[in-house]
Parts: sequence; structure tokens; C-alpha cells
Amino acid sequence: MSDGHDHGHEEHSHDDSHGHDSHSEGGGHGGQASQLTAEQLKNMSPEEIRALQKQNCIFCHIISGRVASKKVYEDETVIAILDINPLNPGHVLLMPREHYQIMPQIPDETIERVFAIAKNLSHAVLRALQVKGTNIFVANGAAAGQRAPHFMVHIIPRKEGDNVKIFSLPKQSINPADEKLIYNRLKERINKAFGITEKQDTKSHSPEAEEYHHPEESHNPPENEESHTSSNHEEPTHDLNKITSRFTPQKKDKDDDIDLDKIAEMLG
Amino acid sequence: MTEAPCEICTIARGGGRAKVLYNDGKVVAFLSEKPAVPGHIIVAPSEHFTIFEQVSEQTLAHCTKVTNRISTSVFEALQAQGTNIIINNGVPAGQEFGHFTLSILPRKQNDGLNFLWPQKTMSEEELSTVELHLKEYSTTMHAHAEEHAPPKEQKKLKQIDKKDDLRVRHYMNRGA
Ligand SMILES: [Zn+2]
Ligand SMILES: [Zn+2]
Repeated sequence: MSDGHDHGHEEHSHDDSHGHDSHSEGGGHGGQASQLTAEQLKNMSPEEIRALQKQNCIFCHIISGRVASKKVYEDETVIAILDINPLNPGHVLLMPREHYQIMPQIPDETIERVFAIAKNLSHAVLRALQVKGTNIFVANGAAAGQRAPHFMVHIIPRKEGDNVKIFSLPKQSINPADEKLIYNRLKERINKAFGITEKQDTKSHSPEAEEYHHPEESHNPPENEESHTSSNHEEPTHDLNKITSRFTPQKKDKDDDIDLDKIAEMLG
Repeated sequence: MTEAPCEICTIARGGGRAKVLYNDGKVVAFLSEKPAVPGHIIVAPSEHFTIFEQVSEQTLAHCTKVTNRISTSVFEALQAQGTNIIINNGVPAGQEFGHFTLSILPRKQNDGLNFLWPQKTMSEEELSTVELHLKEYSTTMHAHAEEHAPPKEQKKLKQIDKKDDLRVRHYMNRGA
């Protein structure tokens, strides 16, 4: 893992027998695994890599209780701790107890559970810290900014004017030819991943899927895709307020003092 | 407030000009019109939910599965070395659509994006205060989550096969 951000937070007195004091993902915990050369890593099997990483993973030690942390939630599948070097106060790191490096390795049931808990934690953050938003952030791979060897979901409290810029994503324009190429490559691989065959892909899906048309079926350039919309009979007229209000009030706990409707309404 | 149709709902129903990559009637995935990086994919439930907290358990479970499957596909399809999964939840967090979405960003080294943030240092007392506040709300979550555990999906999606893991590792390590 190319990292170079090991700040070494000696001021924190976590009981860490491995000499790492910080359990912030930004703390440079490539762990001892990062001392191996890329060449050595490449020649290891995924199982060997996983075993090595687990052994050297600060977060596995936190999960096992060998390293102290500020746990805000735990159950049989996941654990959530405070990042001691947060982007904003209340920055939560949520991770499966099992050591996985990246999301593609995680079984469906586990990742579903992780995101279900992320939602609940996000809600807890809104209520506890009286903030009006959260960023949920996952980095898979060093190129994506992953700095911890253990897969985790960041839950970051956000306030108006908190000066956090990194989630305001740049908006690039892309030329139609490049977009078409990217689209085709993705579509092919995604179809494969879901076991979708181009011709009769709708038959294994819910009835609504029949409204979906593959642009490839009629070899039109992307510009002509509007022609496919003619089958869209339903008028998508949505009153956001009406619709969002359907989902919130009945689920509200008595101590739920943050108004999700208000947060939702800010979006128009 | 105007009653403009929801852009994402429109796309989920097959309307608009979005480049739809996946649509099973419950979840739709399409290319962002203004990508942060090439291949920026937006995943959304077909049902209209505004913010993360409002998404039903079952819908979120399905969204998560589809997101993981698609983000895994991105490595091989676009030779990505990494992926980011991002939810901007609420206006202060940079949410742009009035409909809950997840973004999948295929990443390469030196692609111009940077999610390495400056780290604030918090004192033990500050951390403990936040911990206490949060625990007040998070300790009741367990029972709640169990209660509302999503029923098992009727139709299981294809599992990520073992080879995908190897393939992903191959693309990730290319930049190392
Ligand atoms: Zn670990
Ligand atoms: Zn909508």
C-alpha cells in the first residue's frame, strides 16, 4: 500500500502492544504488511495475504479487545468505533468483525448487515450530534485512498459551513465516444456479474424490469436513446414532501428529536 | 415548491436519457452525466426515498448487494485499481438529487481525486464526550435492527465467484 501518511500519534495512549497508537484509518496502518515488497505480495495467494494482514491488522486487535478503542456500537457481525483523528467530530468507523481488506471479498449477508448498521449509525449521528447530514465513505484499494488494511465504512457527520470539501465531487464532461466505450465495457461486465443474457434478461426479474431497454439491442448511438422512452407510460410526477412524509413519521422513536423530514426537505 | 418530477424516479422507470447499466425493477444503476471520474456510476433504489435514513431495510439490502456486485465489475471492465462507494446524505453533505443515491467511483492512481483528508486531533475528553452522546442513541440500535431484519430475498443474486476476488486483486496490485 502506498501510503506515506504515517503521522504516528504518540500522544494517544491506546494500549497497543504493536506500537501503533492510532486507529484512525488515516493513521497509516498499512501495518507490517506494507513492509513487504509489491513483488512479494503479488506472489502470495489471497488466503496467505488475508492471514498475514489479520495478524498485523490494528483493527483486528481492536476487535479482539487487545487494543483499546471508543466503541460506539457492536454486535455479533460488526463493530463501530470513533476515529481518533476524525474528519469531523463524531467520525465513526464501522467494520465487520471478520477481516476483509476490500468490499468485493465480503459475502452478501455480511455487507448487507454492514450497510444496515451504517444507516442506523448515520441516524444515531444525526440525532446525537444534531447535524444535518452525513457522508458514508468506503475506499477499496490504495488508489482509492484506503489507508487501513481492514475494510471499513466511514460515517462522517456534516454541518453547513464545516469546510469539508472532499465530498463535493468534481463534475467532468465526457465526450460521447469515450462514454459509449465505457458504457459498453461496463454493461458487458455487469451483465456477466448478474448472469444477465442480453436477449431475455427481463424474464428472471421482477415485472417492472420489462420497462427497461438495453441500448445495445437497437444499435443506436447514445444520442438516440430518447427513442426508447416512448414505452414509459407512467407520469413520474412526484411531490417530494408527500412522498418522504410517508416513510418517516410512523417509524419515529419517542426520543427522536432530529427531524428527518426537515433534512429531506432541504433537498427541495 | 415546484412539483418537478424526480430525475431518478424517471430514470428508474426507463425514462430520460441516462445510460442505464442495470435495472431490475428495484434498483437502477446508470452512468453519471457529470462524472467525477470516468465510469462514475450512480446506484439508486427505484422507490423514492430522499435520505439514507428513510430507505427501507429490504431495499437497502438489495441496493448494497447490487452496489457491491457492480463495484466489483468495475475493476475488470475499466482496469480500475480501486473503487470508492460514497453516499452524500443531506444537503450539508453535498447531496445533489432529491432521491437517495450511492456513487461508485472507479479509481486509478493519479486520477485527480483525493480523499486523503487532514486529520483533526481530538483529546481524550473530547472523544469521550462524543462517545457518550453517540452511545445514547446507538445502544438501542441492536434490538431495533434485529426486529427489522430484512426478510430473505426470494431470488438470490448470483454470488460473487471466487475468481472475481483474484481478478480484483490483480487490477488493484497493478498500481502498487
Ligand atoms: Zn483486520
Ligand atoms: Zn425519486
